[in-house]
Amino acid sequence: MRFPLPKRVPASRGSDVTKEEKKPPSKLDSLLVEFAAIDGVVFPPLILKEFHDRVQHLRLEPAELKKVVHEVAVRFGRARVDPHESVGIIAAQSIGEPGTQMTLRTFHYAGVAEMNVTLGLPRLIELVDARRVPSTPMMTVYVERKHRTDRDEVQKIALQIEVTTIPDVAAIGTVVEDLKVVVTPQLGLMQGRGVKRADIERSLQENIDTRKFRLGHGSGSGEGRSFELFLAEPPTPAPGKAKKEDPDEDMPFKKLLAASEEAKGIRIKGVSGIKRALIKKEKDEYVIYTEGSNLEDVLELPGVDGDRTTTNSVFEIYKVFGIEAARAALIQEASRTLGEQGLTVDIRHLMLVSDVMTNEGDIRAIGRHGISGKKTSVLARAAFEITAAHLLRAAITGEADDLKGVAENIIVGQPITLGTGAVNLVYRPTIAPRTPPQLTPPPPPVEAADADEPTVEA
Amino acid sequence: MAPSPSHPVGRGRAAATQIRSEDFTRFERARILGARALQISLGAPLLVETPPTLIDPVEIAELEFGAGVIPITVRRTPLD
Repeated sequence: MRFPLPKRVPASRGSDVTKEEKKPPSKLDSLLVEFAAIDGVVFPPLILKEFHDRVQHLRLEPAELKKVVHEVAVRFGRARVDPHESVGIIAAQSIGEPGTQMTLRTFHYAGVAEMNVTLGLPRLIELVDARRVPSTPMMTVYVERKHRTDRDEVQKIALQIEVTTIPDVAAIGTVVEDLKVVVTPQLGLMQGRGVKRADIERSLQENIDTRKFRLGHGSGSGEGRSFELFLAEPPTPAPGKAKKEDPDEDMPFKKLLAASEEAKGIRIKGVSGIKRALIKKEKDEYVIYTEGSNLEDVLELPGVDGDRTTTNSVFEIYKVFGIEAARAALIQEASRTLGEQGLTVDIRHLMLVSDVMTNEGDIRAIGRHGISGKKTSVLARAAFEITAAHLLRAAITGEADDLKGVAENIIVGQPITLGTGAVNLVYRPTIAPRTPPQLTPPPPPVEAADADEPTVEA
Repeated sequence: MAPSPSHPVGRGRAAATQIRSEDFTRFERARILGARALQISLGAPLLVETPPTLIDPVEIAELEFGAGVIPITVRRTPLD
């Protein structure tokens, strides 16, 4: 299953990144690189950047900085993984074990009324399965700086985001004898939602099938004047044509009921997909939390801070910002899910999982439908699931297996290419002993004297 | 975790000639020690002076490894 390509990246973000990259390395940066080189360490860009940010304001003398760099270099070296370490297995264990301690329950969101968010193991499974839509999509919408602290302004934006349907602001009734649906605006509700009578009228006009209904104005006055939807006269059927085509033909009240149901679903305003929007004060600003998610459309709204607004739908992030953002989102979501349960998992394990899921340019699930099912080696796939089917298929199509992976080598009984199994020994008679041996004769030829570099078997 | 400051892995033969003993990864060290200990256990001449009480081939191999006299090194191929 391939996901479509990302649609676009908002212009503001794109330009920022290029600007940053064009900057020449600062004096501090080159010092950091220089001091790290003394310890034989090359910092990756991200670490260099974080190092820079943390050291910048300290105004250290070069000598002091050198000490700090040395300390970091030592820790960095200690934290590194040896080549041929089986990091995948370790990551699997490191996530799996804490996973056994996770609760299966879905908790209510602390502090916000009636906000249900999938957490814990179900959420982790959902992430790893690369589901397109989370079971509880949710957005965190931040507001631009100037309105951030103004509750009313934030409320206004929240109202723009939250979907308002006709039943939210009006009463819908049917009058069977007149074959009409009456929509009566409720002033109190309208005020709370910031809806005008004209808004209702517009959405009715846009959404009602005019071939079936005629829109009229009913009783009342001003903002509270009701709307009436009359059932249009059925077009006289052409003589001779089968009359039974529409079974409801003789029962107009059925159409009337259908019409009132239709009116109930009409959206007056809001971003589609967002059922609710709640405001919560966080530190010194108001933040909007939504039930339902539509990152693309919410980012378009004026007043929304596009730099911080986010969603828990990784797939939406992928669609709007691309695969790197999706990777970051996966890491963040998984890390938060584990963190909320009080479990500490080194972020590098989660990074590895996210890398594997995203390195082909789209989001792939862990498991049969994703990465395991797409392995190139037949034996590796056969080792995972439905062994016979994979082998049969491979036999029919004449597939070859170059025995590069771990599973393949275990199957054929060879050392695996991890750890000591990945090391190729070479006999080097030229290595001069540091202290020449006094009593012992020169080293024995390990094997028959092959041309230049016989491999040592042990 | 190996405190080695650099791993010149992935540069093929040219790099292999420059590997110092402290630059071996722990897997390489284990593999070399194992190969050498096997040779010693099968009666290969020793490359260092050893106390007469030292009879474990693995310990002798460790001693030799520490002295840097084992005529075995590793060939590193680029990881794909």
